[in-house]
Amino acid sequence: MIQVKNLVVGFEKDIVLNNLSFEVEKGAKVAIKGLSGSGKSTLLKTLMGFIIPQSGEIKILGKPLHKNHILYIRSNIAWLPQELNLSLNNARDLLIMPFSFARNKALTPDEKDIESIFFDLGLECNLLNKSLHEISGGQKQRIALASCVLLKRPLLFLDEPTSALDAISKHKVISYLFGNPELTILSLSHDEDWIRHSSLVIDLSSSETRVNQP
Amino acid sequence: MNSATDIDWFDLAVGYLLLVLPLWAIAYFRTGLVKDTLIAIARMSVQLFLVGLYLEFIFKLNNIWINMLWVLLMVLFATYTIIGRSALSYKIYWFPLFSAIALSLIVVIGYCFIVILKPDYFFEARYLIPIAGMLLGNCIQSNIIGLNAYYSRLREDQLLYYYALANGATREEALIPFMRDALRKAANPAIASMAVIGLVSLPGMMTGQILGGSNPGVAIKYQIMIMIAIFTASLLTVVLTIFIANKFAFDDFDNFKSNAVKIL
Repeated sequence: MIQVKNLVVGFEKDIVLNNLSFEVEKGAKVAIKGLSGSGKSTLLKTLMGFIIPQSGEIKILGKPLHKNHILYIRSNIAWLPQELNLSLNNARDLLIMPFSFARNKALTPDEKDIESIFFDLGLECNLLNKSLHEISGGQKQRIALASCVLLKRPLLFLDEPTSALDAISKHKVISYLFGNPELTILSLSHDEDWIRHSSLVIDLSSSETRVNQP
Repeated sequence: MNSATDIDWFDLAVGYLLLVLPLWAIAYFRTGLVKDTLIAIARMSVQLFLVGLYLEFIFKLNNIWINMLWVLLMVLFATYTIIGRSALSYKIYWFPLFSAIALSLIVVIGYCFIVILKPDYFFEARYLIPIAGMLLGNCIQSNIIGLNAYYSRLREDQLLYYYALANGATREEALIPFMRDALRKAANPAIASMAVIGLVSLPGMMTGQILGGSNPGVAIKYQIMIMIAIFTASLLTVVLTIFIANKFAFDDFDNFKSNAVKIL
């Protein structure tokens, strides 16, 4: 699903990622950890084409990260940012926003789809009419995650997906995402539980890769 | 049509004394604006004096090429003023802005002349130049507001833009909320002024026409035409500028070029 070879990312002499290589197989659940400043966010942004690398090769879903394929790549991933300070009105807007784009229109969920994913992630449906100021960070995070799941993408990029979750919601999210063998996940995480469940852990601070045995 | 009584140059010079009042207030409260005000007054006087000379000359010649050249210079000046006041990069923005303004003027003035004014001679300096000038003045104002809103929101709300892109939006789709904001901010002052026109303020052009000897009945028709033209040209320019600039201000991966705006 993802192949990264000899990736170098940085701004002039300030190199953030130096000669990074890794591969992600279909269905893998990859956690990237590392101290802050080790380049986790930079890596994620680079994979989505928001930062242009100095050198190296990136292939996502078999296509090189190139201007001709960027729209294809971006419409086959879903991204859950860590900060969800999006200027939207209410929770429903947060959930539905990606379905307003032409490419996603056909995927627009009906109420039943929403109820089902909300149940799996431990969310109440009456949240949807609340303003984004009224709901907690953990609820926002799971609503945006529900949106990512409903987009039915093969590849999810999750930035600290459990950072605002309590233990119960966290385990619901972990068992839902990790229980789906079709889904490939690349995540940035500090969370020990999340990391323990992941099939592959890449530590950017020590450039060490660890394969978790199931 | 009786034309306006001329003002004596000496009387006008005495008229400047009225400025003692605002200057006193500006100086007394130490606003730090005395120098700026004096410079602005001097510029206003010299510029208008020169324009009077030019226009008299241009109206007398009334040559299609000279008239066009004059309008072209006004469009260029408007382009540079807007770019400078929006802290945008001249290199990236001069073309989008210039073409957007020129296109809006051609469409709006063309329509007004063909449908409403029907002058005998299309490039009549007496119509073309003042109307173009009035439209441009308003385009400058709404474009500065609109472009500033667009690019400052794009900077502050970068996450919303990236979030949309990463979840399958095209660049155009991801930019819709920013365009909406820019149009709202650019249109609001014009909507407000249309809504109260005549109640609170008599617009400058209409006042000028009445002072110049026209019937109020004629003056309001011109004013209505010009209000429609101003609103259309202003918003058309904002939309066109942003559309055209979007082709130049982003890289192949839809990232906003960091050198497109001066303060980032």
